[in-house]
Amino acid sequence: MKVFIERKKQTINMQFTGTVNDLLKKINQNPEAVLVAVNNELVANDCKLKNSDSVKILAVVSGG
Amino acid sequence: MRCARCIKNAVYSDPALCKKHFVVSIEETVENTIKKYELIKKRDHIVVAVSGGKDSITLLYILNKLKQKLSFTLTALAIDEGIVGYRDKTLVTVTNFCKQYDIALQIVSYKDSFGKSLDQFLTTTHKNTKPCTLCGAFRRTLLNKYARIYSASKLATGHNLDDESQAILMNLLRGTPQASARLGPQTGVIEDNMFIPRIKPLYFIPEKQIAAYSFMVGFNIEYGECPYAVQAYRGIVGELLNGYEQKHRGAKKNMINLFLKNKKRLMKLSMEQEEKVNYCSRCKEPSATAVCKTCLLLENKQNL
Ligand code: SF4
Ligand SMILES: [Zn+2]
Ligand SMILES: [Zn+2]
Repeated sequence: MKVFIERKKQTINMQFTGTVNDLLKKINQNPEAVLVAVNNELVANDCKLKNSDSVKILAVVSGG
Repeated sequence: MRCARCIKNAVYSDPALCKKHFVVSIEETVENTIKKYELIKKRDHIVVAVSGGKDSITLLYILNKLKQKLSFTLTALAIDEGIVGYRDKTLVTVTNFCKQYDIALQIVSYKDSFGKSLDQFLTTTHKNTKPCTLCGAFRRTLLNKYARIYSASKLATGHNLDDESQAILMNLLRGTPQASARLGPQTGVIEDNMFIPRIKPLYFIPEKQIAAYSFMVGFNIEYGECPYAVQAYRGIVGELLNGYEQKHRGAKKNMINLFLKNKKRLMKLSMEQEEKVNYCSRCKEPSATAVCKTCLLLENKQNL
């Protein structure tokens, strides 16, 4: 699975199946502070992810 | 997870709603806040402070949608601090956005008002001043002044539930809870012709929901970050609250509600300490002190 973390401008490739919540726990992101998009659509926290998904973790806080 | 209002899949968890119903629910919340707290009356002229970030764009977009239904008029007001590589870009965003939705836009700059851009202040006369101290004071002055010049009956800002709960907690931690008397969905406790009352229609909407709304409506905005923004105390408090929220759903909202219940008492407390509005002896703008903070900063007499 390709996971892009917006805040760090970093893409990680990982093997993963599970829900959005599981993923956020695994990569240490607070669900309150991020939005998760799969193939460019937002998804709910219990959404099941497939290894072939392209996932974006978008930061909620903006500065300035 | 199903949408709570239809059979579609939810794209958001709390509340569980599909895209269409999520967008509707945000707009309903804003409208309800406006009605419940009487933020906007018929024939009001609302000046909206807009920075080009997701909060102010969302606010402007929703108010523009509501203006006919609630019969008020709208002007967007953007402040050009003069921050190269940042504000120049967000001003393009704001300008295009206002063109697209046919919203009147006024841009006011530090350079025209105070003689120098923020960048220039910070590299010449104000090398030792914290950027946000200078910038924040200037912005507050100009927003009020130009809201008045453009005949605003209210000045609307994009503060959200996270901003407000952070501010309340910060005031508590600093030992100045009475400072929170100035918070709330509408401020400008003091009645004064020179002082334009402020309203915060996004008051009950968490920052995350505004980000989701922006994404779903597709504002298509690059949200850059100000180069002077520091991971300030506010950021730390924000993380703390989000950490707490994760374990105790509704913590931020509970804080806001507790505060709203006690606001009257806080106002009493703060009024006992504060004098009423004076006018700055230099610029004649409303000010709690004999010379306002902006003028003190301009004269380099206040290096906080
Ligand atoms: S982060 Fe500070 S310097 Fe930058 S725009 Fe905001 S107040 Fe001004
Ligand atoms: Zn629905
Ligand atoms: Zn002054």
